[in-house]
This record gives sequence, structure tokens and C-alpha cells, in this order.
Amino acid sequence: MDGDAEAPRVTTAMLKRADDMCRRKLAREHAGGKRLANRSADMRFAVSNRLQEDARLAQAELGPPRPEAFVDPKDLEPEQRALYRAAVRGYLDAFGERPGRATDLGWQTHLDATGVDLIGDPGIALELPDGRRELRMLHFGSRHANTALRDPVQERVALARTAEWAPDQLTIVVADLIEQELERVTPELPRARDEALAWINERVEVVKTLAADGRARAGADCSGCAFIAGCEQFRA
Amino acid sequence: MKKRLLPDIVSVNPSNYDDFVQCERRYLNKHLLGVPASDPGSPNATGLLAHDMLRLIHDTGSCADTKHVAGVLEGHDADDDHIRQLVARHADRCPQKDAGGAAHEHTFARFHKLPPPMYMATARIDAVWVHDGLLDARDYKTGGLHYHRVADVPSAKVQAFVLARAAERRNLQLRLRYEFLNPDVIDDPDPWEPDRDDLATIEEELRAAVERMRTIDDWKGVAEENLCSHCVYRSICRDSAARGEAAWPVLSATS
Repeated sequence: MDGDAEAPRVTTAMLKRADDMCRRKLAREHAGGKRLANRSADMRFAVSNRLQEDARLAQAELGPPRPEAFVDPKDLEPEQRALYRAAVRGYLDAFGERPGRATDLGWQTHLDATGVDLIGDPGIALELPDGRRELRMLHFGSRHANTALRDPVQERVALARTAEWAPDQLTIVVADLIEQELERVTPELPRARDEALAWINERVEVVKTLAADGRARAGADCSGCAFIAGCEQFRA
Repeated sequence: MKKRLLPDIVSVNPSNYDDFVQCERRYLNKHLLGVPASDPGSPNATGLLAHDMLRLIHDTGSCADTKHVAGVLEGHDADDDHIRQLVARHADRCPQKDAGGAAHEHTFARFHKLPPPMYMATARIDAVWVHDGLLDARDYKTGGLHYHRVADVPSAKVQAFVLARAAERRNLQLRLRYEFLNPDVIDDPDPWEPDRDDLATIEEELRAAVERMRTIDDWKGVAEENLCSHCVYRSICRDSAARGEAAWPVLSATS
């Protein structure tokens, strides 16, 4: 199911927010990502990316996670390092006794039905000793107040992204490593995946329709927009 | 690949500009590094609820209609004396009956291109009313009074900058007012009707702030106890003058 990078893209954020997004921003992100755009900042992902990379390394071989794989990120700011250390503690509290072997699911899955690439890191994918599959979706304490731990759209995307790797059985573990919240769900397959794909395909058609409009709308989406250059809303 | 701290076009909004002016390290931690709060901040649930109720009340009727107000509050589990008092305080000063147009919880945006560096300013405004040749923008406040003139508030400068373009397009004079709903605050701070010179000064002030962001390499905190003691990063901040143990639940776990 992995396809070429040239297909139109759909992200979890687009599936959630397309109706409210600036159509011009949506069109450009859908068509080509941010390759030709103003560069955005990504330092806010430094801790989460580092921890997930280290967690995968910690279970590169079948077994429980090796604590020594989590290396203090001395190149980061002290506050980021404090967050990293807290997240490592949360990770080992939640998963330290759970053996498995990490595998790489990549960043995209091609959806044949709609001809788009579904983009996004689904989480840490583990093959357990008895052959079962487990997907760990992690939060790092940044959820807004009153936001649920589980996100139904992210879970649908995870089901789509794991279709080849975990066709018959999958356990999804959603954990906030800082807030120490954890939920474990075992979707009923294949029904749950069929429903997820049907929902995603329907939303992709909405994304395509709205992106085809392409009109810019000044507002909240302008903050952080990578496509300000040439936007008709801001011509002098 | 080394990660980027700032985007090509920096985003400026009332909240992040206020943080930057108060403490550059807080701005770094919150807005650039995305570090979650390590310590409790001021509770704001009542303020958020009051904002939501005022938007709903105006979207579906008038704040002067007591039956309508009661219905909205009852329908959203907000029918308590305090919220009723906040809404009533607003109704005394609401220009709705004279207004020819209005918007609630609307986000305005304005782009600064030259001279560099570029920045994108956005601000979500609680209420905007058009009446008597004015674009009358209101920011509802449920906390305490810290300034006596809106013109002195750092976040108001971002609000004025983005609203001024909207006012200019409609040939209206901008008035920015901070409407204190808390009955303990007797008088609102003086509203602000910025003129062209004020707006040019603001644009340059914001530009200079963004230019500074691009040159900082150490992001020093203010390290003042009165500010640090309320900061949501006081336990983990490199420069904190009010250090303690972070309140993250994971750190108190015994397992």
C-alpha cells in the first residue's frame, strides 16, 4: 500500500479540520505538502521525536525496552531535557515490563480508493513475542484541558496505516506520558478497519472538493501558514 | 537535520507577544519549544465559560433580553449567580442595540512584509461592533485590572495592529476597549483609538521584536521572583527565581 510521494496528500489535521480551513492553504498542503513553501519551525517536536526514536531503538531487538537507549539529549534546552526525562520515566512506567520488537511503518500509506497518500506517524509499532501487534500512540502533556486522551480520527488513521502490518489483530495503547493517563483498546477487525477506511475515504472526497475551491481566507489559519507568499489576502 | 526554532514568517499574536515582552524565556518555552506547563497557572474556567456564553447570547439574541439570557445560561449549565453577574455587567455597556454589524470570536490577520523581517500578526477578538463611525472592538476580561490605559497593554498593540486594517477598509475609526466583567473592577481602563502615528509605531515595535527574536541566542529569563512565582514553568525554567518541584504527575508516581 505504500505509494509514491507525488500523489496528493491527506493528513490527520486535514481530515479533522478541512471544513474550517483556509481553502488556499488546504489546496497547497493537499497538492504538495510544504516542499515549496516558507519554512516552518519544528523545534517544538524535538522532544517527542527524540523520545519516539529512542523508544524504537530501545526495542530494536525482541525484549523489554532497554533503559540505556534513552540518552539525555544534551543538545536541547534544559526545559526540554526536563520534559524528556519525565517522558522517559512515564514511558518506562507504562511499558518497561512489556517485551516486543519495534518496527518502522514509515510516514505514509497510499489509499488506492481515493488516490491519495495518507501522511502521519501512527506511533510506535511493536511486534509482541506471541506475534500480536501493538501500536503505542503517545502524548507529552500538551493536550488542552478537557481534551480526551483518545482521538477517534487519529485512531481511524492508525487503523488505515497499519492495514498491511496488522491485518487481523491490533491493540492500540494511547498514553500521556506526562499526565500518566493510559487507555488500551483492541478494535474488532476487520469491521473497525473497514469503517475507518470508509470514513477516511468520505472525508478525503470532502478535502478534495474544498481544496478545489482554493480561495484564500484571512484568519486563524494565517498564523503559521507556510504559503503566505503570493496570497491574495496580503498583496500590498 | 537541525531543527528550526523560528519559521520564515514569525507568528505574532496577543498572547505570545505579551509573553515575549514579559519574559523571553517563557516565550521560548511556551511558543517555540512547546513545553507543557510544569506548574499550575491561574484557573480560567469561569472566564472561558463567560466568553462562550456571551458569544452564544449575542449570536442568538440580545444580552438586554433577560429571558433570552436566562435560557442560554440554563441550556449550557451556566446558570449561577457569578456568571449571571458577569453577563449583566456586560449588558450595561453593550452597544448591540446601536450596532449595524457585529462579529464574535473572530480572528483577524495582518501581514508585515517590509522592512524585514516579515511577520504575520493574528488576533482573535471577543466582539466587534460597528456603530457611530466606529469599529468598536471589545476584549472581555474576568480577572484583575493591571493597566489603566489599553494603549499601555502589550497584547493590545497586536490587537490594534490587526484591527486597524479592518477599520481602514470600512472607513471606520478603531476603538479598542477592555471590558471588565468582574464587579470588583469599577472602571474599565481608558479605551484606545489609535491614530496613524500610533499604528506606525506599533508596526515598528512588533517588527523590532521579531528582529530581536532572530538575533537572540541565549533567550534569558527575567529571573524576578514576582513574575517567576506565577509562571507555569517556574519549576523547570533554567533562569527561574522561584524554583520548586515540577507538578507533572509522572514525577510523583511511585511505581
